[in-house]
Amino acid sequence: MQALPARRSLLTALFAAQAPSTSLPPPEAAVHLLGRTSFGVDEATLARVRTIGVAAYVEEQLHPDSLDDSPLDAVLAHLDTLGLSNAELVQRYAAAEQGQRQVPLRELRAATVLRQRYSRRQLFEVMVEFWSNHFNVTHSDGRARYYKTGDDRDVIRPHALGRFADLLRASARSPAMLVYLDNASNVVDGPNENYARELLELHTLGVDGGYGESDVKEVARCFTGWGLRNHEYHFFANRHDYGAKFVLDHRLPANRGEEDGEAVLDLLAAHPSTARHIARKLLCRFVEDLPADATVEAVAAVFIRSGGDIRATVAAVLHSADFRNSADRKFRRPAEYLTACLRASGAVMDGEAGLRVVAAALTAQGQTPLNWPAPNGYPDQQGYWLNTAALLARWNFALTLFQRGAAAPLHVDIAALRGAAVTPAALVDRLASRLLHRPLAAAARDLLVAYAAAGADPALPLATAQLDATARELGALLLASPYHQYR
Amino acid sequence: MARNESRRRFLKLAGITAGLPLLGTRRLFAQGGAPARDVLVVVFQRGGMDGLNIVVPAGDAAYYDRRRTVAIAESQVLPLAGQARFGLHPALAPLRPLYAGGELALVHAVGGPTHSRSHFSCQDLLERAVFDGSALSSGWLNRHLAARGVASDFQGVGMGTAVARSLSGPAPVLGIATFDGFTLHTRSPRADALQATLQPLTASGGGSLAAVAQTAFSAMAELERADPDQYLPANGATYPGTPFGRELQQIAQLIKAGVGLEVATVDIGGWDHHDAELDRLAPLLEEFASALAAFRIDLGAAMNRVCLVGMSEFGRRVVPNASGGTDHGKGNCLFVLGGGVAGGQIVADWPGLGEADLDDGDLAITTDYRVVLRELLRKRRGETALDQVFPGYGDPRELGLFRG
Repeated sequence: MQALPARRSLLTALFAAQAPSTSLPPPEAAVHLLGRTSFGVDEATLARVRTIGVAAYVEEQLHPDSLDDSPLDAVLAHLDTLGLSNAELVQRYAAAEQGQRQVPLRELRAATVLRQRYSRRQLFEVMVEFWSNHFNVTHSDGRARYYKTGDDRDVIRPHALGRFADLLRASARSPAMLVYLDNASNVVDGPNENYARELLELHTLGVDGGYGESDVKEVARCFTGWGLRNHEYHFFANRHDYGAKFVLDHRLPANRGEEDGEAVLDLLAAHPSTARHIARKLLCRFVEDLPADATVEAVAAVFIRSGGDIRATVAAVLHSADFRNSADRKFRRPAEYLTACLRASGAVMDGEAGLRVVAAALTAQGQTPLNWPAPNGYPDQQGYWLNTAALLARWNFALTLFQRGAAAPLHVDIAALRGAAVTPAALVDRLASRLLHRPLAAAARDLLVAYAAAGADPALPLATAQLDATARELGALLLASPYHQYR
Repeated sequence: MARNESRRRFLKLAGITAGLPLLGTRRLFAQGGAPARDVLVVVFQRGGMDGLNIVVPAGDAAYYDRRRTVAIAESQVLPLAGQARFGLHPALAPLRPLYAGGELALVHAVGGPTHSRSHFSCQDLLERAVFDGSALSSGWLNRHLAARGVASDFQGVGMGTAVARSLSGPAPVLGIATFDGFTLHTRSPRADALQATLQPLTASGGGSLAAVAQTAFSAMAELERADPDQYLPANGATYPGTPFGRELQQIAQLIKAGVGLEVATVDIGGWDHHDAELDRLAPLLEEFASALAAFRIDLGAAMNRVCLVGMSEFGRRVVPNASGGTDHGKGNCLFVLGGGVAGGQIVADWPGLGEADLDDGDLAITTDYRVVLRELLRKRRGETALDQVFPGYGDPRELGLFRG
């Protein structure tokens, strides 16, 4: 039997978009930038980009601490569990009754939705999602339902635009990761390879990054004894394998303890395969499903030169020519689609009930926040997400969003959205501008104007009784259209 | 919107949107109402199921020597008539009557020709069924459908929010999460006009998105006509109330509705038992087995023209870790169920579990999984273009797993 190593290029080939995919009139540069660096374009942010320019906006977003997010922080302050330690979370909730046990999970999920919807630090939230997904810990898996709160707060967020090596070290000691990939029970007499394999394959080198089965076994030995005591990281010296190890052609001498794992993390963080793997994934997030090899190399070089500085690497991606020329090459994933609908329409999300509607829609479309069931994280390629069920779910989300009245926990203020427009043509232009922020092709515009006019003269005002109903249906059609399916 | 209301609307639109595919579909079923080929259902058990604890080699002393604390106790193993070496995990009890009835066969020490032990590489390789390093991106089921030519919008259906890799490719296929979700939810008094606007609008950007959108509209109309919701589980079948149970039930409904289903895929995840395997495997196997049993009972005589395959990306290491679990391995078991299956047998070129028998600590693969699939496609699906479905694989051996 012949045996060939799996190739990354093959792995990704199927799920990649077949070709630069559409014939839609392209968006302006500011809209393209926001589509990629936020969870959806909204009026206020677009106005800001147009005022200060693309370059200044990117710089601002790369330094999120300089952006005031106090209105959002005030809302998040009501989610009590976000600030609790692992021990407190487990003590208060693990033995509570069924409904109560879910509170930490529900609150972190809510915080994630709220931040993506409302934060002014949009690029930062994009990067938090990127790294949460890269270092995936399935939220509903066992103890992760408590430990994930700390993983998000203390591991992902502090380093999302920091140094990759720091993020990697923090993740290796994260209680959520330690339980999810079983390193908490990785001991000298019967090592558990789960973390070691995914550390090499997913977190650092990539599946073709140049490691073998013996490296997996040796790395597992290096991390024996890395465990949990009282719900926090602890090195158990008596569980560690003190023999010499051989990892990626490096000999790690015998009789070292925690330093074995440290050495492996240093080796991996600085490895050129890691730089390429991270560069390719960032380009896949921000540019296109199958980034050009030359661009991957260029971005990887920035990663290496900057000592794994994530901020510098993301800046290189956003300033690349490939980025500018990649409009409509990234199909929105469900969470991005839903959040973009809410941001564009200014939908009112009323308290817990509103959040429940959004959470249910995310789950129905296969992207519950933080909960992909395998260690590789949610896919980010069109071929995985584009199918008939997905499109119907999006169309129905748009239709339902606009059908709801003002009393519904999630609804659109249609009068505000349509503004002063009263003729079919003016309505279409106003709503397309507000919801899509990009030009419609003439044929699409004609189709929508004809729908709105319903046989009457499109230059004449609609009857007052028809105005809001027509605006609602146009809004749904626009968000269901191809113009809103790409980021 | 109430389904009746939407159905009336779609019936009205049917002549415009999907009249021709409907005629084609009906023609397929013209003779006696049965399709000429088995409907093929492929269940992918994602995560790497532990075949050694599922079809248990309890008669091989080395199993207990090596598996130790993570073995299925001999007293628990369900014996099978005529089987000295193998028995079943006790949670597979619902499948035992199907084995005894000659509809279920098991294959062991099976897998794909790769040394990878990565979930994601192995799933990708097995589902594409391409092992020669070529970049061919389509899945084996999609190539099979492509070779047959398009017969119906419903020729290939991936259940759930994403379509399995094995079914993805150039031949058009559907993703269906729920039947209720596969219709437009609008209360508009102008619903017809709304749809008549949405349809060309969604096609207006071109590319894959436009093609998938148009397939969705056409299939939506056909589904409204066929109304699969009317086919409730029959013969007292009870599916588990899990996503896998619901999705398998929906496949049965599509089969009964006669929409022209040829191939369906469905996933059941959660098999990656690096720790506490004995506690975690039993409930999952129970869900899997009771869903398969319900599917069989539900379909009744229609099962004569249905074949189901259950497979995973790899088996698990023979020696357990200290977490009460098992790490990634190689050789595995595989399930085939159907009226055309030469059931009541376990086919295995058993490599043994002695130290020298293992492949780097794992159960060796002695049967290429394509041997099974190839025979299935040839005998039960009438496939002649086997070289296109399994490129670079020409082994003509068959195991006698299927009639025909």
